[in-house]
Amino acid sequence: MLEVENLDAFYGQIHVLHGVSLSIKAGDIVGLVGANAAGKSTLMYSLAGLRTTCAGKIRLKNEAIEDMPTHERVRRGLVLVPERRRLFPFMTVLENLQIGAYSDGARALAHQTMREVFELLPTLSERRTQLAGSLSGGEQQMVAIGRALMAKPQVLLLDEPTEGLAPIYVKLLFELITSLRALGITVLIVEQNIHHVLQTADRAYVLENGRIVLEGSGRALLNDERLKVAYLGL
Amino acid sequence: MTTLGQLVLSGIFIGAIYALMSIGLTLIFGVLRIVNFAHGEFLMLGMYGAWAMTRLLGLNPYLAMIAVVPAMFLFGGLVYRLIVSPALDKPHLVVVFATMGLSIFMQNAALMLMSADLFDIPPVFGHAVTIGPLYFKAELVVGFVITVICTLVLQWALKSTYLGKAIRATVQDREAAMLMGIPVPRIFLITFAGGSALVGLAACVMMPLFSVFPTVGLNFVLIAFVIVVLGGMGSISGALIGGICVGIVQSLSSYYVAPAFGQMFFFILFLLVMIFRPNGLLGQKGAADIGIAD
Ligand SMILES: Nc1ncnc2c1ncn2[C@@H]1O[C@H](COP(=O)(O)OP(=O)(O)OP(=O)(O)O)[C@@H](O)[C@H]1O
Ligand SMILES: [Mg+2]
Repeated sequence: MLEVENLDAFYGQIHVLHGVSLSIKAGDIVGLVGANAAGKSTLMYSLAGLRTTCAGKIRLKNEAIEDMPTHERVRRGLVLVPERRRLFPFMTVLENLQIGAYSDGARALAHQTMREVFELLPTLSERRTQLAGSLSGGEQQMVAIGRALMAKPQVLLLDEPTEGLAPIYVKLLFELITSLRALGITVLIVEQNIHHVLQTADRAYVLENGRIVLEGSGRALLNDERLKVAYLGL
Repeated sequence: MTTLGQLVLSGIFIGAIYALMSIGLTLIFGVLRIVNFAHGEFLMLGMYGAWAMTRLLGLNPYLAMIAVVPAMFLFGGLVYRLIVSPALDKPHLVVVFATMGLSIFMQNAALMLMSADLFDIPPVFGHAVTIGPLYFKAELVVGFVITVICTLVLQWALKSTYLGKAIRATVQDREAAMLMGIPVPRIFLITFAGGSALVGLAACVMMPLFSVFPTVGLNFVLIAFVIVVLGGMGSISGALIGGICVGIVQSLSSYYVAPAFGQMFFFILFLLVMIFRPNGLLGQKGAADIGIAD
């Protein structure tokens, strides 16, 4: 579904990602873990075509997308929910969702998708006329995911969706992500909460200083000695 | 009392027209976060256009809008493509100098082509509008009505159309807008061209009231800057209120004090607002109606 080959990413002269390769199968939930400043968000932005300049190949459904602007990638089904949610604070929940369906393909299906999103996330329906900026952190995260779903993603990139959330929301979120699988959406998720993500993910990658240092099935990594020492503090 | 009413109302009318000429500036600032220093010269160009349509083709200046507004839209689009867009990812001063350069170029081009003479058009309406005991130039009242309609339509479009929502989203968070599939460079182009078209509209409304000459823009652009800052940068309803305040102050002070001091008084008003309400009259709330406030 999503193939990344030898990706290098730069902020100006600063070289952050070094030869990153990923291979993500359709319908999988894939975790991306790593310490602070490892380059996880950089990888997510690079996949979305924002902020960085890149060298290397990115293929979505066998189509090369590395030279496309962000909105073309969105139109083809690659959608990022960025760090810190980034809602449109002075727009209502409803308007935020409508903006999610901006691309023509998604816009044609907006009504139908909206109904599905409200079914999946009933609190959004209750809050539809409220300004997004006035929601609680957990609610905002739900809007951010709902907004991305409005774009009819085939691959959903989630950058630390549980950041700053109460445990009950974390649980809710992982349930939500699991239910996305049923909708046939492929998920790449960056997560600090390593235990949680490795239990949910089919596969996972470990990023260290801009390089992939480990990869494998979620379960296998959960038992990996190196990972235990480095991240789980065991 | 009649005099006061007369002054206040004509202040409101002329102020609204000033607001119309400022909306393009505030819109472009809100979305692109740049100041178009050639804004006054866009107005000058539009006024020459309206003048030419009226004098040479014998059109009513309000009908001239049909040609001037789309022409200014295209002109704005061209300026965006050739001058603004290439400067956007450079340091901020580059856009400042680029639009200032354009402003000087347009003034001199106008001087060369049209000379320094003042051009005007004959009155459109034969008689004044009376409201009770008060008399107003009909052109002033028509300009006011056009401004109000235009502001309402624009507010509605920003609130309710998909394009309007995309513009507001771009104002609120440019990156997030891109991530939602909004082609932000295209939104910039449309906003810049649309803002220029609005200046063209203002030019047609102003041509029956003022003369046009190569540096006419300088007279008005200062007022426009004051209005935009008063109303809260990026706010359309704020521009309307800011414009009306400026109009009233100008009208009262030039009657009770002296016409020459009119400008001084609205700059005093400007300073007072900056001291006590640095975010503009409507403050953050005003800015938020198209969305700036982060
Ligand atoms: N806009 C930028 N300009 C320059 N350097 C940047 C920029 N953004 C990030 N970096 C650098 O790139 C490196 C990777 O940052 P990144 O945000 O990708 O890390 P991360 O793995 O997402 O960390 P975290 O867990 O804290 O979110 C860091 O050293 C950071 O300082
Ligand atoms: Mg990060």
